[in-house]
Amino acid sequence: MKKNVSRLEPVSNRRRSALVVGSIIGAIALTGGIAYGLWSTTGAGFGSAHSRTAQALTVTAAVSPTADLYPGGTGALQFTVTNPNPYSVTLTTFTTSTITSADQTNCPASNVTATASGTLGTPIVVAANATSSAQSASGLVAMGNSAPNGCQGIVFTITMTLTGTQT
Amino acid sequence: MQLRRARRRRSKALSIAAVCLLGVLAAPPPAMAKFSGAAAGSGRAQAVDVAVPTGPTATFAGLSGIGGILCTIHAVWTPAPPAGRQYTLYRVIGGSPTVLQSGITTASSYDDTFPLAILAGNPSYFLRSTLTGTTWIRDSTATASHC
Repeated sequence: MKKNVSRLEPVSNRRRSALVVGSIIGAIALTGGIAYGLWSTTGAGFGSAHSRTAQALTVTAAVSPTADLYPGGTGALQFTVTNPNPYSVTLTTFTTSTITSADQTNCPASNVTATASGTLGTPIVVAANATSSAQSASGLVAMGNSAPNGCQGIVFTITMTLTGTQT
Repeated sequence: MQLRRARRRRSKALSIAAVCLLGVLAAPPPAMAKFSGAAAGSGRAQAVDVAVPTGPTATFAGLSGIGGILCTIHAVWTPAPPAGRQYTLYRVIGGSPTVLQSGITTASSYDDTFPLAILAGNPSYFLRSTLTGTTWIRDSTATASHC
């Protein structure tokens, strides 16, 4: 038995050593892979990534929106989006909040409601350092059945945010 | 003997675990490269405006009846209301308007005959355009005539 053990020990040690050496080589190779992966994906590496702070995009209300709201009907929320970043952004979800009427006396903003949040029917792609074409998110605004005659032609401004990711 | 085997197995398992861990760490660089985007501001929506219809023309068509006690005015309007609108023709003599014809969807005319006895000043006529299915209206300017 002792003789057999003494034969096996050197073999076992060699295997263990081989495993340890293999692990170290693997670790070096994979660590290099990580570094390579990050550099090749961003094209900049860690140092440059710090300078690329994402800037907020801005939503600008349409100057002359298409008139489509009427009592009991829905209409579109119309705007453009400006992207100051050096990469394109795809916006997919929205939230709305405050509604302001251009004539609060004859047509209070309470005559209109906006969908609070959701997913855009069509994602909005805004190119790098560019302003989108005119956007029209249909069905987001609704007018109550009892909206008075004074609401005709009135413009409603609705605060909104859009979210998405770099593309 | 059994102890050594157990140690060997443990050593092997540790080595495999280390390699797997490094593999996981190396896997997903693309996910780290994406920025999220947020846009804030406002949008606009606008309500439709019922267009003001062109007022009717109103011309004296003559007196009738015994001794000429009835007056007839010929009212004409054109063009037809736009899609989704309906016209109503009104006559005004003195006070409140009287409906002469409602549900108008075409360019047409109307002969209005009334007793001279109710005339307090000249009669005038106007068209009211209604957005179909709503209470939204716009009135044309009134067109006066004489008997």
